[in-house]
Amino acid sequence: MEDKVSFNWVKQEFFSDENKKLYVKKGEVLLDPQHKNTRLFLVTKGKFLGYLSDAEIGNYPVFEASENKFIGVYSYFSDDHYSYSKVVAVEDSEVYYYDKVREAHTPEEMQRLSQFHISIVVNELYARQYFAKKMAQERHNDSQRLLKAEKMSTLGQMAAGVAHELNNSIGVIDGSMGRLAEFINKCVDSHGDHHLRDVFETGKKGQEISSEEARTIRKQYEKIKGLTDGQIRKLSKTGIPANEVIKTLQKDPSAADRINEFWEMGCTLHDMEIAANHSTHVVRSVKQLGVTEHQWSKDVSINHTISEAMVILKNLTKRVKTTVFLDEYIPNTEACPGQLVQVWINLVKNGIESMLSSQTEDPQIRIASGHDAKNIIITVTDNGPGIPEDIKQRIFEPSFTTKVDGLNFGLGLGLAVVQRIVTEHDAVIEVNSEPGHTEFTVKIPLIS
Amino acid sequence: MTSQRIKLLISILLPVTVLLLPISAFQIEGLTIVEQRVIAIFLMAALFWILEPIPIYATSLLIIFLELIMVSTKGLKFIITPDSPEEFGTLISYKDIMHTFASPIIILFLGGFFLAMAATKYRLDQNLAKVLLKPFGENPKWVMLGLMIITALFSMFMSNTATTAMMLSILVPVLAVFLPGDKGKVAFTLAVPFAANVGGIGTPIGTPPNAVALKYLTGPDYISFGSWMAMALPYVIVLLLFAWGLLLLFYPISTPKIKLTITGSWLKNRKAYIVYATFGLTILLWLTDFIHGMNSYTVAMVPVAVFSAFGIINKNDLKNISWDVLWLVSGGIALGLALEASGLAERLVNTIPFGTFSPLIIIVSVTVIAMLMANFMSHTATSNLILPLVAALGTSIMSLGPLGGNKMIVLATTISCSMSMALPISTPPNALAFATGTLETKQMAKPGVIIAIVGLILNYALMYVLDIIGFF
Amino acid sequence: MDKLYIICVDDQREVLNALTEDLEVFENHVKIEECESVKEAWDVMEEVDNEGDYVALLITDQVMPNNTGVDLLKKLSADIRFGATKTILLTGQATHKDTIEAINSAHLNHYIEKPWKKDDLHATIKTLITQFVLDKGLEYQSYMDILDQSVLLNNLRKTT
Repeated sequence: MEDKVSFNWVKQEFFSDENKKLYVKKGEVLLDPQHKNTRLFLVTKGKFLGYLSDAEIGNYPVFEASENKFIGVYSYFSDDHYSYSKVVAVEDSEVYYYDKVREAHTPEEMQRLSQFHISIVVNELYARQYFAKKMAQERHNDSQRLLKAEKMSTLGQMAAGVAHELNNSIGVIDGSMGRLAEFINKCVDSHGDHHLRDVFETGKKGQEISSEEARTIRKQYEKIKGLTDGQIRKLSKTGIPANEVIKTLQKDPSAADRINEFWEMGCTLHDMEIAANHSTHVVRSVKQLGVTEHQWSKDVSINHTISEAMVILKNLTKRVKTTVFLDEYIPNTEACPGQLVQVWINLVKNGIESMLSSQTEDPQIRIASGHDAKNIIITVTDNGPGIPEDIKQRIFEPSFTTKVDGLNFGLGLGLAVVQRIVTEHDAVIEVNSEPGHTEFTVKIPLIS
Repeated sequence: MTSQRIKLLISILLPVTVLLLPISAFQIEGLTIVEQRVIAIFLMAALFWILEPIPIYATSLLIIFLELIMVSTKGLKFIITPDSPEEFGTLISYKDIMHTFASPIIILFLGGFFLAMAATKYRLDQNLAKVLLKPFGENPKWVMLGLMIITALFSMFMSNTATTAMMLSILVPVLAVFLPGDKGKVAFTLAVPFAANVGGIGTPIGTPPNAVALKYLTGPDYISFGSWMAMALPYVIVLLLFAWGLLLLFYPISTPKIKLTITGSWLKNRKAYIVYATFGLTILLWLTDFIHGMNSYTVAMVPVAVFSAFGIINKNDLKNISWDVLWLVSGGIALGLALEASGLAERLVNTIPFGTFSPLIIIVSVTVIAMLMANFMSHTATSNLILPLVAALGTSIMSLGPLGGNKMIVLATTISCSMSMALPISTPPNALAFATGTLETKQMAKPGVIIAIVGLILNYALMYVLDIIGFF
Repeated sequence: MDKLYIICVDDQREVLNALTEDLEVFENHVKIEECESVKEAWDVMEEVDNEGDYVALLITDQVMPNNTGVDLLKKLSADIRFGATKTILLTGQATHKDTIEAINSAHLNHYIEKPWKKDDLHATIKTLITQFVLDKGLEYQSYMDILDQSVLLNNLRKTT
């Protein structure tokens, strides 16, 4: 009996009458809640969707039926023979039907019919269960996606708001600092002492020697009599070798204070500039998370954007061997320079930080530009540990970071920002990574 | 760094030179080799204490060490075996030198330390201050007087430094509520160290110079705890009142109300009661030696024994005892011992014709010198250096006799040592007050100098009165 | 006078400059060392110790390449040579977890958030240096200008 109840048996016995075959065109309605239905349909070709209509959200699908699936089970078995949904063909289809009108008379026929019915019901139950599960899963996925998108957009809006507020104050700081620097420059320029002017200029480059080197120089200064600990510490920070100033200092130890003051003045200007630049950069990066309005220009020098990025990163690139190679013959192209600067910053910063945190020996980073007939090609190469295979796929995801402490969002969101900007430029970014050699390649199409 | 080295070099080279000079170079009749060595040690001690290339207590230990090696009966064999006993002089018993570590004076001080430590530990000091300060109300003038009286009273039994630290920690928070620009801040800040310095004079255990003086007040010159207080207390009171008036005159207080808040309440447990009782008993015994016959040194063992037995002072507390102060005094005693026992003191006095000087000039000059020296170096070190010489003068110059003799001049000099409070470096209490940052050196020096001068004059007056009533 | 050192560790040059500038008031009594990494700081501290001088205070940033400030603090607290050394974590980037770890397993003395206020920093350093000087039993008189009054007075009260 089990064999008999198989689907093939049902199909053979009840749904093979060529007279009871219907062709339904795409868009045509097979069942309608308004009309009585006493038929059971088996789809042999094509696909149908069942809709429920709701006053608030309109039609929404409750089931789908493709080949070898039954339609009209509910209305066929129900007392009033009305369908609860509207069934529409979504492609050209054909169905066989079985009409309830045909009645059973003999016990054999009765048994045959009940077998048929059971088979149909079981099948239907299974199909509905399956569909309900599938719908639930999809709805769940949808809401997750929605939540995430909402989160990102809230974060973005918040970030943009904060960035906007900060932008103003940083603008003021930056501007005032510039004016202050000009004023100090003027004052120093009019100072009679050439040497002190030089010292000031040296200071303006920031402290160029490491604290370890400073300690070596300190030993030289410690030999000069009459200097206090503080004077010595500061003199050694200037990086000026002791033998250059020893005569002045021996004549008058208080000259150390003047040298230190001038150098410190320069260095403070430098440090403030670095800090202001850095803040500006951070604010800009944050702003780009949420906002998509950017200044596009038809005549952008890619090399210029790279140089700009390197200026902002000066503090970081000091720590590794950095090479910049720029192809002078790159034609200008249409781009958003501010965004491209972000891309270079993020790629270079990413490389350097991964090298520093993995204690790469002799860390090197190289950024190069070049072009062929169709594209401008920029590569950022480092000799760090490389990106492990298992995370290579995920590095461009927004919240992905390789950092242990979750607070350095520079990288985590960085590559996601890169990805987005690159896409906006119709460009592509590829990563090629193995231990000791990681290369990001950005190809920007030339506008002919 | 380098100046420290130069100081060390001087402090070593000069005494060594003295040591290497031929005896004849000194131009002193009959000077022995032992005496020459004592001169060298004394010179070294003076230089080390004045220039302070090493901590002052270390100098004391150095004195004892060098005495043991160079002039003791168990010294280094090769340098204490005389060629001719006549020229070599008399060696000093090594036991006597070592005894200075546990001399009765040191024990007296140890007793004082135990009292002070237990009082602090069981907050007797703080609670007592709270009670005593109450009657003085909130009028700044009277609060300041109360503060000074309590400080002086405490510093009679506790070290001047600890007393100042305690009173300043009560005072400093209050300084913030003074009206801006109120000079009264200066008055209050100075009141504490001045009162502590003056109060130290009040008892034999009040300050280390007093202890050093006890070394030279023996035999007929012996002075009991009670009679010291009877002698010194009136002086302390008068000087304290003078200092109070002077500070108010120089730095009038414009803040209308001052309230010193002292937190905490009396401890009420068995150990605390033992502390209160022992404290009272010890002082009572000190003052009533004429009844029970135990001298102040013996009585000093009462707190030491009781507090140790009841675990009130434990092993850890022992570490907090200022052994450096005790050893500083030991060194002074050892120095005096060497001067006396070698016969050098007597010889010096006999060689220099002090007898021809007016006794008044001698009194004035030693007291002034002591006061000036103590302004720039430790009071204890000053008394260590100057008192043995003064005592030698006192015992040998007959003309001092009618004025009170040895006892008078030793006491006068000792009091002078405590008169130095003109500079932040003069005493640790001054340094602490200065470090509060509420005053300038000048503001401390002006009243400090006047108090010192008036103190000296009062000192002479005191000696005169004491002489008349037959105290000496 | 014994030589005391304050060791400052931060990988950012500008921050280090700003920090040491604010520490100038202490420089008459204490030597100041600037270090750009944890490793460098450790080398300097060992050198100071070998010279027989004291590392009185360590001020360190938390987030630095290679080793974090907490790593350094933990190493320091485990080393008997620096048992009395006081520590300040000066950072804007330490997580809750870092901070707890610094306190529990590295006996951190003080936490200051960037950007710091000069006066707060001074007060904290004064307190910590005073504690160090007293813990070590150094001659406090030599450092009087940079010591915290109340800490000093409270301690002196206990002496005899």
